[in-house]
Amino acid sequence: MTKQVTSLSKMMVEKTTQLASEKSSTTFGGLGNNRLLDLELTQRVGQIDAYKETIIQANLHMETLNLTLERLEDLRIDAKAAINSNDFVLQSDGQTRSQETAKVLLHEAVNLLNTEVAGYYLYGGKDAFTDPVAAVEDILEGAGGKDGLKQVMNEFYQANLGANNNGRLDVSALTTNLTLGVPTDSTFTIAEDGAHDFGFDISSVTSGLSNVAITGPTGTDPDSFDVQFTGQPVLGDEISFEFTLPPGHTETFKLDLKATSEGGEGAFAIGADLAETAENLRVKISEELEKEAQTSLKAISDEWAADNFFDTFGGAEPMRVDGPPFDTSTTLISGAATTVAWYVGENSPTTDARNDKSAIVDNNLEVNYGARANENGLKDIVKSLATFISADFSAATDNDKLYYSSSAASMRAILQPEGADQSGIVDITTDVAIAYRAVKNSDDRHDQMRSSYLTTVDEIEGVDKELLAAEILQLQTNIEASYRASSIVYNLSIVDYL
Amino acid sequence: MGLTSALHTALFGITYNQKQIDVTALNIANADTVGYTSKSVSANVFFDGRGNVSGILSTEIRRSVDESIQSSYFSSLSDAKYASQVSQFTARLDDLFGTLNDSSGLNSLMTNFSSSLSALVNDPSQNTAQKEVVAAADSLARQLNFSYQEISDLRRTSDSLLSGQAEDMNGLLQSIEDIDAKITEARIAGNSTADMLDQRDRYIEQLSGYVDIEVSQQSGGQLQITTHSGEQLYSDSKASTISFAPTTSFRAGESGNSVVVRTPGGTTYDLVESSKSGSIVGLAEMRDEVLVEAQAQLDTIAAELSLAMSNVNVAGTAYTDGTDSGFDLDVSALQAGNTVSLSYTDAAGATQNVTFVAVTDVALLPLEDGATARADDTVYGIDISSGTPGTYVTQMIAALAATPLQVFDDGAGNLRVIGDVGAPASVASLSANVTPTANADQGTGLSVFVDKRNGEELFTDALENGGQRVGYAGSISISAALDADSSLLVDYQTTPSANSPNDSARAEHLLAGLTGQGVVFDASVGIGSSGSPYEGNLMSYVNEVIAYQGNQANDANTYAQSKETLTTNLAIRYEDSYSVDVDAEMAFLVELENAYAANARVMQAVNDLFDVLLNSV
Repeated sequence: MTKQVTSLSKMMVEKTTQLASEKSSTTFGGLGNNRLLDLELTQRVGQIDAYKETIIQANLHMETLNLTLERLEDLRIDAKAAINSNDFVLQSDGQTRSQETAKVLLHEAVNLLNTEVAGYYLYGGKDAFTDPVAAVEDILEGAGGKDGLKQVMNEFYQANLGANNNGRLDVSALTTNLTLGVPTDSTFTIAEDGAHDFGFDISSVTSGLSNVAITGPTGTDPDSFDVQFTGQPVLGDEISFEFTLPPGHTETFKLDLKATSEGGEGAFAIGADLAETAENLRVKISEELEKEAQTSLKAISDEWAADNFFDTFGGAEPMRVDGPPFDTSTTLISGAATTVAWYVGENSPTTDARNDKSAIVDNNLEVNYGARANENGLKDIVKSLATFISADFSAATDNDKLYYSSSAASMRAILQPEGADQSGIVDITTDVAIAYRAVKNSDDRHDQMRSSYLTTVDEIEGVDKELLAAEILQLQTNIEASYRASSIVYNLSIVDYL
Repeated sequence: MGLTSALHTALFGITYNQKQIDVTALNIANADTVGYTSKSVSANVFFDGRGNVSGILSTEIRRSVDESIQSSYFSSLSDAKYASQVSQFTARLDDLFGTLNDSSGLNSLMTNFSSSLSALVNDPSQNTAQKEVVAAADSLARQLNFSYQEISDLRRTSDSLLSGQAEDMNGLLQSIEDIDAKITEARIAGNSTADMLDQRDRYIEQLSGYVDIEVSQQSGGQLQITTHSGEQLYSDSKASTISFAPTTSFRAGESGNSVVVRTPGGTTYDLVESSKSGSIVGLAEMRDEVLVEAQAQLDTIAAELSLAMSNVNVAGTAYTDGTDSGFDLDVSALQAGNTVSLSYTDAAGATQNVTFVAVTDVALLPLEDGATARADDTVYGIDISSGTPGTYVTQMIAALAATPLQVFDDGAGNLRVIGDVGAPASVASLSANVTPTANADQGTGLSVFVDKRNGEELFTDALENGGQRVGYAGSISISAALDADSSLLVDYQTTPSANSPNDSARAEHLLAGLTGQGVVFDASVGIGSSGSPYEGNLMSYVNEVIAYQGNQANDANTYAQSKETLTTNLAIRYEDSYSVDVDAEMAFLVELENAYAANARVMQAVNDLFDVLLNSV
């Protein structure tokens, strides 16, 4: 009986402990068969808390990414407006007004690309720990003994222009055969100065000139063609030369010349004899080539240089013209050691920069939101603005104006996505937005799971207070009754009645 | 029949009454004495040839004990003591392995460690995040040390309890021997032995709490006490001697000294082995099995934790020879305990797994398949004591000679295993698990935890000296280099160029080790079976261990409670069978009083009759 009363009061103590701690037991042993579930769920809650911390950080990164990307997209549109091919207004410092605007935009773009959130550089791939994009001055002028964009552009220009300033072509002198002092035929040759991608490439010659024989081009590299006058062409005859442009030599530049009596724009004059006419044509071609080489070819050369300077995505090396001398160079060489790296962030080979930064926000759910300043879209802004700024129009000659116009056009082309495509920046923004959405969804899911896990844990570990209170009351009554009964039993003795 | 005869009869009655009153008084006086059995006397009445009472002979004082209940009580008592001993210790274990809402429990620390690692993955260069990981790893290691030490202390406690209980048993047996001698003497002298028998029962009751004994009466009325398996504890009035040498140091995984009994005849036996229950058996079981198993579970957690952090998987490089393809593997980095795993498909199309385990102690060879936790592999031990990769490869070639695979040394000490299209057999994978010896330039693995038993050593799970993992939980510690420089958690490469401080590769490796699935855990420590060992991640294994301990404690507690209840019931019934009922005694006393008065009245009447007779003469 004593034992029973003791066990009752033990139970009472246990119940009051439960009431105070609101747990059915202090150890896992006392939880019953659900203890493993309880442990697993508690652990899951811990994991969810860790995921939620990750999510907070990932959200911060992505929100910042989003803001900067929005601004970069605005910048792209602003830059397009700034690089206006018709707006050639030189300022006293030798820069055009549009170049000045572009410079401001470039500074801002570089600044945005160097955005850092608590040690993480948004546009530096996965493990950048310094500004991923070099300072604007360093990019343009070079730094630390390495050459900048301007030098690289200059070398490309030299290589494309060639020693003859005509796009790496040799225009021979006129060879005239005389019979009794009368020219019977006159020939000049235009030849490429070697097999390479620089300068103009002879594509085809279509002659409508009477008494003129064209030999070549053969289509081999280096190509050449002869123009042989055996008589005077007829007024109004036309000849056209087609050259392809570097670096791909798919775009063409066509020179149409018409035989007229006094020459002029798009025409050559018929001279006194065939030799003079041939010379007129030769000079005209030379002049046209030189002009073209210093305007549109120069703009193309700039773009080519810029492509080689800026296209370093996935570990590609910047390429430079092999030289000096540059004007006779035939190849490109790696400029990794001699050229300023405009992008110094993570640059390992990859097909998708998004994979550079991943956040694990749930079991088996990884979102990627890495970005590299040198990926398409982002790179284009820096490339077009920097190239445009580096171009030198300060002489303000007619050629410079033409050069300005075609340079502006090609830079705009870089910023303008082809056809109906959206810009690269919008692509990145879309990727980030999708990741953001995934994170948001899993965050919501975590909240729900967490609360449902906690409810279950509570059910396993917790106690029903009302029930417990009732049990305690009942126990109390039982104990009191037992005490009373015991006392009655122990007091009952026959001794008292004898 | 005469007056004298009546007088004699009354006198006999009064004498007997007197004795009864004595016994009753004794019963009442001792009503509250523990173990006092209710005593009684009875009388034999003798008649002469004419029907007169010629004498009343009171018997010796008898005890009222129900021996069947007594023996069930005794055996149940040993069970209850055993159960409560087990329950006490397992409850301590349960407490030790983790309580609810306890941030220092193993499960919470594991969760903390993995959370801190995932924070590090997010932000590797952040010093705070690195420090958090180091701190979490440190407290995890310390908790393992602490738990291991606590269990060692529990083993020591159980050892000293064993020592005390062995001493007690000795004393009890000695007392029984003494009292038995007195009983024999009293019997010979014809004196009452009831009180001494009571005393002897109390000794036996105590004795049966320690081990489950069998008590029987020998023909001469002497006791015989044997253990469960019939070994002699007390026989022919001679007690066996129980001796126990306390275990001085508890080596990991080793049993302590046992309790030795020397019979009077001089033979010795192991008391624990020859018994089934009782607190001594409970203690020995705790000390040598349950606590050791708990330590082994901690060792497994510590070992797998270390390996998860440090293991670098070296994959084989693909090699093709004509139509046969396979792999080349550099085995030069193998250390004792490191493994090479080969998986291939044999001619029957079945997948075969082979694991080579590196050992430096040739005496361990050949290894059993049970040397690895995996159930589905064939294990070969490779002696790497030469330090020359070529000799490792030679041994592997010999081990794989019976397989259809083509195994060579590629000429540079690398293992080359290729399939055979003709057999057909094809190699699915070949890789090595190695422990890096430096903190950089050996892969993303990092020895976060090291073995501090002999200075600071790498944990490679070596099999030498009984296995490095035995007792490892007691000496696991975070590496001093990491403690001094938390950036090791990120910097895994120094040549050709240092990796970026923002590179999370190493942090990812460490986290994957902790949460990665597919780890097979050693089944010998109580979780899983050797045929289907527990396979999962480390985090859930820790949960399993805690749940296992909780379950064990709960089962032990339930068992103890049911035994306790049973024993209590038996104790009550036993007590009822012998205890003094004061009310009954008092009522009996009234009866005796009346009987006495009646006898006296008879004598008075005889006296009166004599008076009348004499006066009339």
